[in-house]
Amino acid sequence: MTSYPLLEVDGLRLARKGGATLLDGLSFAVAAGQCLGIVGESGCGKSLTLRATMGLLPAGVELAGGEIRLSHQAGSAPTAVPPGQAAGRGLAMVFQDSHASLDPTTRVGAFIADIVRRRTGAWRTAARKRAVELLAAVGVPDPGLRFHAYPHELSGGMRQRVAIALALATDPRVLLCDEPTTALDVTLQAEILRLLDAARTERGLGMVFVSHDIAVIRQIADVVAVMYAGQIIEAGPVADVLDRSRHPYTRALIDAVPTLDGPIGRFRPIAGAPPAPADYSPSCRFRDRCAHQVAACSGVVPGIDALTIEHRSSCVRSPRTHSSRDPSPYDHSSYDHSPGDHSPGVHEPEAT
Amino acid sequence: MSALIRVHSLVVDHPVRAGFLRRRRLRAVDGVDLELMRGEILGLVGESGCGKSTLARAIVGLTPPTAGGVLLDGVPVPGRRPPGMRRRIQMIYQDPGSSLDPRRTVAQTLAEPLRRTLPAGKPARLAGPSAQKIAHRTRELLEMVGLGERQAHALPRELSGGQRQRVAIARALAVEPEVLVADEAVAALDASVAGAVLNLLSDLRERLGLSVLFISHDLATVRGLCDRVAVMYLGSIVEEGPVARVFARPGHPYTRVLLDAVPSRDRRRSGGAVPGLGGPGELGRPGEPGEPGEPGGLGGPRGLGGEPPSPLHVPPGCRFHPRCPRAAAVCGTSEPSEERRDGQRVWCHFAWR
Amino acid sequence: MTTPPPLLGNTVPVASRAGRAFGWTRSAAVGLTALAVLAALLAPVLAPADPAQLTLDQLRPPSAAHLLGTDALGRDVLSRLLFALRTDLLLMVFAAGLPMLLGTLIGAVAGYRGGVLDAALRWAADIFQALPVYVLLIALVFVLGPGTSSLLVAFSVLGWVVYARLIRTEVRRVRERDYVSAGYLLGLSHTAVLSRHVLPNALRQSLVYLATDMGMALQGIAVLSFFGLGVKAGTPELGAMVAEAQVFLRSHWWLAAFPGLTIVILGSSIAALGDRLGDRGEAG
Repeated sequence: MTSYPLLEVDGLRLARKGGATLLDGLSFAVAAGQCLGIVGESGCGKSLTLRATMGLLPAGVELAGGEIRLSHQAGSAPTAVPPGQAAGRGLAMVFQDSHASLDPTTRVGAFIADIVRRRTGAWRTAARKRAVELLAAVGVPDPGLRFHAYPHELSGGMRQRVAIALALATDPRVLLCDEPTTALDVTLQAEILRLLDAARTERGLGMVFVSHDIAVIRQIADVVAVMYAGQIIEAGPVADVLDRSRHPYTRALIDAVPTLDGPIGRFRPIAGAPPAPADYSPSCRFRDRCAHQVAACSGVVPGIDALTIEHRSSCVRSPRTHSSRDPSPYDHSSYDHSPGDHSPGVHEPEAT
Repeated sequence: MSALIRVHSLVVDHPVRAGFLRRRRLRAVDGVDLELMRGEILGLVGESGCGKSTLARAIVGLTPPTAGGVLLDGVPVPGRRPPGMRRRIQMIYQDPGSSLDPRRTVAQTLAEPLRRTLPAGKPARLAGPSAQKIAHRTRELLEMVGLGERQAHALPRELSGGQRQRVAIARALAVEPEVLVADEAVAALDASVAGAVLNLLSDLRERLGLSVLFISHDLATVRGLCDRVAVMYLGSIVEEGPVARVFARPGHPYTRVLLDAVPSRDRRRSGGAVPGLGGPGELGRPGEPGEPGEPGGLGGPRGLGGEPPSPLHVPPGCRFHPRCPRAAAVCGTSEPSEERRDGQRVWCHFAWR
Repeated sequence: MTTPPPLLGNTVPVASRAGRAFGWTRSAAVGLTALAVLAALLAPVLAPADPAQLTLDQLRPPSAAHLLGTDALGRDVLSRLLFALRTDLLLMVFAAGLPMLLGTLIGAVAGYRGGVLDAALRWAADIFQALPVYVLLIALVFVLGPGTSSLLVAFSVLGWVVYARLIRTEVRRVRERDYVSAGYLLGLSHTAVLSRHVLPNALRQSLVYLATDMGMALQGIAVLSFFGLGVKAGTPELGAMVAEAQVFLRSHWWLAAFPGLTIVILGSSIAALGDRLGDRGEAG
């Protein structure tokens, strides 16, 4: 039996109205029970991707191409949904700012119950019962009591739980998470991650998890797509991409994150800044910041897709599984080192 | 090394409304003793709401202490600090969107403090320092934080988050302070941008001999930047010591929980996708505060359940005991005293156990 | 592109089409207001005759000699209208500006300091909210005696509250911004922080309201003058002109029509200008 993905985004292209391209034909797929992590610096378009998938385009941005396909039943091939209409059809979203998904003037329980009723046509009492169940399921203590709380009466962590309950109330097949733990403390972050992970395994949800934090992606995702300047530049299983990065940007992104183990030294920011959308070029967009630039980087270097879970990178210096292009010499030592192993040469000396 | 800032038995209460005409006092900081040495970077970590920001505001003089006080270079600071004393401790804020006046260019923002602190020109002392002098110093400051002439005439909204934080640092440096208090100063930035700002802080410490109080909830960052670290829980310091020691051998269970909660960029947690915090409570069963210490269901370290309790309801005894995986009967009745080991101080009945 | 449906109560920003459709009305408002101000400024140059000059050419309909006709005392209506614009616009600026000044001072200090002053302001604001302002306005001018100074006093006494409330709220919001406490730590006094960093960032809403308020002030001045409570008798003023024309309403339409129309058009133009400022404020 062929298993189809639940969600396929194919060639998603976004542009400012009459202006610069923001997303460059982005493609990815998510299967049932799978979590795709999308990681990148601010401004790379990762949140925009998620919002566009959901059908929430910010003012001044328009869809310039691409298709979003959703599977309506388990085991059926995904079919295209008209742009902007994915929301009611099995997609739900959790935002970074939990205020964004809750209505400040409505009690959280009533809000969830309302969604349940609109979704299932259930009776008022049944919907209420379901809402309390959902609140309990996301770990809200005293769900019967919190049912009557207004969003502002809840702490940040509790509000995010409620936002997740709200997303689950629509019985989604795919959950889109936009930095849902970024505003939270580490302890709460760990709990919310655990909660999302449990929801995924228990309900067989597909999940797209956007974060700027490699460490979070490492914990939650099975497959990761690394975005840079409106393109996916590396994708594959999490362990492969993060431990055996093929794109220098991925390596740099990982190295920029401080760790609790490993040597203490200077922080390792990536020099320079990503290009503005107006400056996006057909060549490698990272080349100006890259330490391993070669002549081929200035040629046409397209982004890659994440429709399969195969490990691939857009870097011209990395081995390609699909391309018949001349296999450029792949310098193993420069960025294929194991985690935590920072050779002294790469490491900046401590300031004295 | 002498203590540049000594905080002694500092208490800060906030009045809160508790219904109609009822007022209560919320003890945000509850008897904190802390020292910041000259040229040192001290990390202050804890969950949001633990009082670390209030402590910071009390140290810089934005919030008056209810009891206890702050010694600056051995001299007690008055409740209302004169301008000269305020300038000695500067603050870097979390939100790059709010730390700069949106109506002023970078140059204007930097010129304002300079106009008051640069020595005045000769002919007319009343006129203040010359425009030339101010422009020169502005350039110097911008260069010091890695910005150029190009940014000098930009408005805050034209700058990136990292650039705004650099301007905020330059503004603080304009009055030549001895201490910088950075309250989650890089929390809103990407790891890469944050790293650059942190390297800058570290360089400034070397170059100018600054002392830095670095408040953060990000323990990995604290590890990379700070010399010492203090862990705060519900208004009190529960552990304090050299970073390397505290992180390698945490004496307080709370420190351990915090460290265990940090996701690793290099490893997925063993036994499950996500650290097994909150006990075995899976979907449908929240880990509840005060639950007896069962082993973590996912084989990971056991951690906290629920949310940090409110400072309005501080538990008796050790304030961490309702959430503590190691809590025993004594923890609920008596406050732990200080335990010392190799420059590390821990307030726990079962320190290092 | 189709506009995506709102999701879970999450509103999607949609470009305002209404804004574009009413664009021409707003341009007209700007134009008319500018024209009125210009006419008022240039009144001595533009006026064909002395507005106070009595002639025997009484109650003449509009003609080439007198474009808007003459009134019962033979004065040129166009000239009186131009000078009336002067009176009204000047009074308007003060009748709206003085309350704003007063309200800004009170609201800024109350909002920044908080405490008793702030509580008192909120208390006063609640009371004023419940008062019938226009009735009080008339009563107050009546008590103070007619005349421009009592007019301005009355407007200030009754008008400051709205500004104080607006400013107070904004100041409290801006006060929490980090650059405000940074300014204090850099050695600025509270007064300097308030005047340099807080107020400039807290004024926008009040300025928007000021524009709307000017339109209302204009009408208020005209109404009070209509009842003889405003300017000194004989001063060219729009409301007073309408009042003088009352008797001739049926026989000599132009006497009431031109000043009346001016009040309506100018009043609504200025108010529309305020809306425009308000929209700009939201967008920026």
